[in-house]
Amino acid sequence: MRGRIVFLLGGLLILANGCNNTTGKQEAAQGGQNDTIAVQQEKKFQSVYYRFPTPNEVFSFIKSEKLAFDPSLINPVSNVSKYLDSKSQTIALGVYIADLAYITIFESYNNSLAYYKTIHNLSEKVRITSAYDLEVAKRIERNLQNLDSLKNISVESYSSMVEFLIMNNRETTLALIASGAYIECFYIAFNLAGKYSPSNPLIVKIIDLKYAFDNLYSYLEIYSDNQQVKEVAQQLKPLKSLFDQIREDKSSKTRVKQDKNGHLIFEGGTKLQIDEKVYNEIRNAVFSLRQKFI
Amino acid sequence: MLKKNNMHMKALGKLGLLVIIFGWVVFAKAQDCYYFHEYQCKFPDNTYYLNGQSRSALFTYGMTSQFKMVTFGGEDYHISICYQFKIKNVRFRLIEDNEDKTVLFDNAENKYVTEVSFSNNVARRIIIEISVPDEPTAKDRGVPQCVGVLIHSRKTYQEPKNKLGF
Repeated sequence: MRGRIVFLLGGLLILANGCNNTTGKQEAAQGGQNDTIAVQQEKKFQSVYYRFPTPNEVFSFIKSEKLAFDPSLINPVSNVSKYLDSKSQTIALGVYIADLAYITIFESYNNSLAYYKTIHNLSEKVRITSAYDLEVAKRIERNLQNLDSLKNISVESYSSMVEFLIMNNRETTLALIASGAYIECFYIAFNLAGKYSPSNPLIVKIIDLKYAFDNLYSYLEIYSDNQQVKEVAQQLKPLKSLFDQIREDKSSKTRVKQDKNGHLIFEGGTKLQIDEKVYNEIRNAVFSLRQKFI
Repeated sequence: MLKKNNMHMKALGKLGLLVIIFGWVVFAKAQDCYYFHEYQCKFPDNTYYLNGQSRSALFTYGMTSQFKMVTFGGEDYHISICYQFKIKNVRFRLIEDNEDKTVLFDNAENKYVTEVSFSNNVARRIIIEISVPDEPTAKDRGVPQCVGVLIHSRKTYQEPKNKLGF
């Protein structure tokens, strides 16, 4: 018995020592890495990450009092049975997440539970277990009249999913979800905006989403060693080229002011401008992509 | 015989303790910066909403890293940083991601404050750059530690236009 205990203790010590050695190796490697970092410091930056607003933030940005919820614009939950392979399920998950964001931001709460449950089912199929769970669905049922709670649930669930995917090195999945979500956001936004008019404030806001799309596209490019991400990046490339045709008026330089409370005010800077031709081309490209995604 | 059993029990107890400590060390090492920004960074007042572009990452001394975010026109942003490093001079800069690379804010010129708020009149791409200075004598040098960037946003408050009557 004592022999077994000594053996077990010895084994644990060896294991612990092994870990220490690994740590030692990591430190040695990090020592070397620090030298590399010193070299990279001269080049200034070690790495760049891309972030882009969530679907909730996109709809909060474009929402105005004049815009009403249009149920014909969202992807019907009955379509969910059409998505059979992992790529189409992941993209469709993004589409439904954008639909749920549209539903909650535009306060059509009767639709929220069905869309939440659809997102839950799809997220299980693509093995995302930590967000959009059924406990939260029960919270939705309890909060159907509480607008702020429903918005918070939608934001928290998305945020939880993003953290889960990043921490589990599944950024490729996030890239596909975000692609589906952004195309759905654009599809709804272009439908709400209607025909081109230079004075339409919603069109001005849609143009501003160019930067968000640029960051999303750069994010896709980083992960395009994954075949599915590569395919989606190729699908989005013509749209990226069209967004690049939006004119940038650089006549005003950025100025930074500060108010008496220390709050900064960024004024001036590049303004984006679009003409009718480019607007219609982007709109058509979005509609065609959305058709492929759903 | 009883004494022998007691010795075995004590040895098993020590073994159990060792397993728990060992497990805890392995668990602690495996921890990443999961939600570090939401637990550790300073929140603004409740007129702001949490922005999904917030993130945390592992840094070492002497490391600079940046991430590119998007801001919309007509919105206010509050950005706060937090870190596990024991030093106080972690630098963060906001740089407009354009050809000029205009530096919009540099906390090195503001006593290394860890938060800033700003209003934005047009959409901009902004680079958030975090630099942890090198500390050759730091005991924890070479140990990756978490840095969080917490972003909040809200619509810029518009003064109501003066209107006569009700």
